[in-house]
Amino acid sequence: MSIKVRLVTPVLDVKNVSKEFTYHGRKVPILKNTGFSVHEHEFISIVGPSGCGKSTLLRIIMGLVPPDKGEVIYKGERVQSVNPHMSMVFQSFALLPWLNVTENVELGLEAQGIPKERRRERALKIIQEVGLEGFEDAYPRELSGGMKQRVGLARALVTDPEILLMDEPFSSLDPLTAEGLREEILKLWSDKFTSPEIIIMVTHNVEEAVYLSDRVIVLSHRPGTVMAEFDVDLLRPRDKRSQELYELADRITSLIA
Amino acid sequence: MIQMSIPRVHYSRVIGLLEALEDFGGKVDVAKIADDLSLELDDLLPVIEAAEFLGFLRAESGDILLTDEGSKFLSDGTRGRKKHLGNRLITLDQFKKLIEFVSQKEEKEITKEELSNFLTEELHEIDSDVASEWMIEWGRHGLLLRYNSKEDKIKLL
Repeated sequence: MSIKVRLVTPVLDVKNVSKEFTYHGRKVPILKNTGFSVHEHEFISIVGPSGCGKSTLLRIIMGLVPPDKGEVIYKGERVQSVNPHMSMVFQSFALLPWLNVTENVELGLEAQGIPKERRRERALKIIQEVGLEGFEDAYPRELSGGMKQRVGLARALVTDPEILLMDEPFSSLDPLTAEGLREEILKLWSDKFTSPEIIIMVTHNVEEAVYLSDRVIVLSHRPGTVMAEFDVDLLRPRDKRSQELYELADRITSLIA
Repeated sequence: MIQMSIPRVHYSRVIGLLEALEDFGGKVDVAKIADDLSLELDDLLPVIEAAEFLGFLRAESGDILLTDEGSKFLSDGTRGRKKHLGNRLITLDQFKKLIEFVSQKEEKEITKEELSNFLTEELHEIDSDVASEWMIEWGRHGLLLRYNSKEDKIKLL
């Protein structure tokens, strides 16, 4: 195991975040004193048993949901509303069925007050990058699951986010489609000239987390708190079927189970 | 030679299979890769057939092997792959005939129903409605055609 010394301040600091939800008049703690830091050009995965608050944590990081206690610090500043330097990719794709691919992608830009012409230009560029070229006019109902998730990805990337948050992005895809899309996301992240710089992914698939990430953060049962962090010191490109990868995945799985 | 139909599986599944095959060093037992991907054989076989039809892999006594064509395809970026696919699709009889058919039209465009009729009459497809969906899908991926479902227009690129 290598010892990592980091002298630079983290890009993102999640500090002692706690969150409760009220369900039928009862308070249910979802997250308790959860915290971790994210540095330049990291691919982080958050794993944990279902219901451990993984998705809630992503929403808190982005500023969609405020924490009850604790704080999220982005580049030295406390996140108090939706962070414009972050975008989210959802498991369910979250596309608007009455808009075509180009229009769905442009949605990502609408909130930013960018003129229509620029929006189109930017959307078409991202559409090419994520492999949606040829489908610009297609409506979500005409797309396979893999292509729908590409639209979700394009809509997230169109704002040129520094941090891409992904909530179980491959879980509703068939194994073959997921296999291909994982590689493409790795390529996008590895390319220093394009966004995103940092990826934070929530997944229940431990092997996927180990294969993709620099660091895997393991959350406990509800209320979720950080149980362990694992550095994945395997050189890239990685062999998905290597012994080291399996062993690390096994260690993490035994913690969760 | 029997004219095969356009593959009826999604392009992203073909890419996934090729990526997995490359991970196995370009050659693997079909049962082993199915097991590794947690797929039933009858779910995987059509994807293998599609990739073979496109010339990206070869099936040989229970194994599948990545062809040179397949490696070249994989080593390309997203756009390069589409061009590669398009170059392959355009050599197929179905696309050759379709391009000729649309080119002869005054407006250089057809409706989905016209595509369906064309597939029945010229290519003797039995379920031409389904076949036309797949033809549009692959044609879009290979950047050979565009389809606007709102206006119901299929145009060549």
